[in-house]
Amino acid sequence: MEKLKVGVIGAGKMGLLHSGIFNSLDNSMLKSVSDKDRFITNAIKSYLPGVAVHQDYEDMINKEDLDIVVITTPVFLHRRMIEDSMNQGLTIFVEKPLALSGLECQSILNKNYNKPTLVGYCRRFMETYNLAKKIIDSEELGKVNYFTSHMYVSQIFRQGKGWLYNPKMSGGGALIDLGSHAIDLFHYLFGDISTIHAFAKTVFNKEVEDYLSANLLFEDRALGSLQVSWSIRNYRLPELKIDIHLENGVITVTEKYITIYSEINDGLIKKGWTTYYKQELKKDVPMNIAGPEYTLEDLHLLDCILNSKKTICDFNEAAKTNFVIDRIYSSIENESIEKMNYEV
Amino acid sequence: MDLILGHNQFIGISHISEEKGIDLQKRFFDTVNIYKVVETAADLGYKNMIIETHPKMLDFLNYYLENRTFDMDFYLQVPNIQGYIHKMNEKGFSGLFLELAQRDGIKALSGMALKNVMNLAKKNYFSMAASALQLEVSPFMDVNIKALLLHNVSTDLLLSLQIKNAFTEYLGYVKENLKLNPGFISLNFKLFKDSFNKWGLQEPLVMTPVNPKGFDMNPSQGEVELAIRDYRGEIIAMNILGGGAFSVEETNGYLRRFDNIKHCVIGASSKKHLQEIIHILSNSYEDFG
Repeated sequence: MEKLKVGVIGAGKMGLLHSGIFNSLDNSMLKSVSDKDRFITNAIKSYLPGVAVHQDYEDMINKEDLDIVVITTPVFLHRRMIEDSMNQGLTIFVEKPLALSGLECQSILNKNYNKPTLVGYCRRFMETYNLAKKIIDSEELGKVNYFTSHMYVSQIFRQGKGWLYNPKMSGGGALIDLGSHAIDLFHYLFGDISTIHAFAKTVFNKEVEDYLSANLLFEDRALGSLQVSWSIRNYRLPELKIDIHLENGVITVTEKYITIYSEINDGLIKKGWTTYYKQELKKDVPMNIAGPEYTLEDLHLLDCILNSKKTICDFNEAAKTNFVIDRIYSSIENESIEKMNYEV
Repeated sequence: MDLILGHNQFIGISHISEEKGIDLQKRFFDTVNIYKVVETAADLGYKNMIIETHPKMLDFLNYYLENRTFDMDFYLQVPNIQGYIHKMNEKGFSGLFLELAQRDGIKALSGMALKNVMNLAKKNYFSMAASALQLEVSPFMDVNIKALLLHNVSTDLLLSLQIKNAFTEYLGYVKENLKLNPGFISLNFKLFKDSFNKWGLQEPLVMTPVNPKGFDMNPSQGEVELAIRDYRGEIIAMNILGGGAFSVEETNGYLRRFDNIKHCVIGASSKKHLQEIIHILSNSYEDFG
């Protein structure tokens, strides 16, 4: 089988990561990279003579014979790049979040695009969260009553520099950059949200929130809370920790481990406490550069292309996170309790 | 079996949980506490230690040089990836290299107009990278460095893109200019070995995960086991205890299957654990040998 040809827009950290992964997988190859920064494109030219380099992404998607486009640029550029890639009929992978706002997502969804799409909410590909999903979906511990959660990292303790801290370019602060992972995972684990009440605080950045607290009521009546911040000291890596209280037990899950407390002895689950570390739950991947989840994500996209399947986080699914984020920001701005309306 | 003391615990990295990572940060906030653990390890017979170009490790090294109540050799891991990623997020690639170029260490470039620095950089990426490497390594050169180990994110990214030149340039520069033994860290041992064989390069020193559960033995435990068996370079086994997820006994039984693994890294931070590990891993190897 001929390899699927990949073009990457944006050769930053995530762009290089996906370039490397797709280039090393059996069914795909890196064909082209585009980036405005000549420094990086010239470096790619000198070290990867087989990869076509463009300064302008439109040149790349118009001129190169590509199957997949990978968009890893700042979020304010996503919508235009996605819509241009749709016009070329490409399979589209875009790093999270899908777009700046629900309005932009609506524009993307209105195209009714029927090629595979995937948004890089990588926690869907981490085995600890997937085990939590399996237990919740099986209802072996009953229904979810309540959860608390935090998403923290030590990133900002002074005014941040760059597009990430300009709301016109980023869509917001800690919530959209970091907390979007949590919101997406809530959709994956708990389903749709019905009601939101949130507060935020700005300390280090002038224009975007550094701390945020949200209460969420789900359509199946589960109640949850989320604390998000990129200004929590001593969190070297981002951590999304969720304590999930079910009818017959408790699940605590992070990127690194899952602890299950069960009051029943049933099938997969033993009565009492059980902890699994990611090291024990691992899945083999053909290439691991910065975590197996990124490879699993890219393999999933290839599998969906080759077998004509929908991905588990396509544009419709990922847009839901943008819609929720919009409502959280409305709740903060208007000091209101917001009803969710997924315009998907 | 030569046991090498790992350093992750000293900079607050835990592969088990962030809570444990924070506990480690508290415990090793004071450099003296790092020194005491390393001293205990040295007393128990550990002769080598991994460090990386991280500010905390530099503090430790300076303290070690001032006090030096024991002898230890070091493997130095470069670059400090987290630091670079943080800067790159803020400033982009150009900004990052500009900052590197403007640091005092790169004399030839200091005082140049920004535009000229960028033009120079565009013409010779390797010399820029080499200068950055030299700058990063230089504060750590007052101790005996047994080898320089290229961080797995760098190694594996270059491997995934099959950039042979970057490997040959790194090997040459570290040997010729830094006068150090070059090595690599990789989570993709099979591809690493296959690539060096394909490129006709000698199989170099490599640190790679080897453990009973096959964690980070990519693409699969079986394929990595086969590749290890006929590797002619030196191998340092890492992640042998999965950050504490696997028992020492289980790991010992597994490592005994490979007679060409002579070194392994362990990440203990208490006397009891250091003793248990050296007792089980070293003794068994003596029995085995």
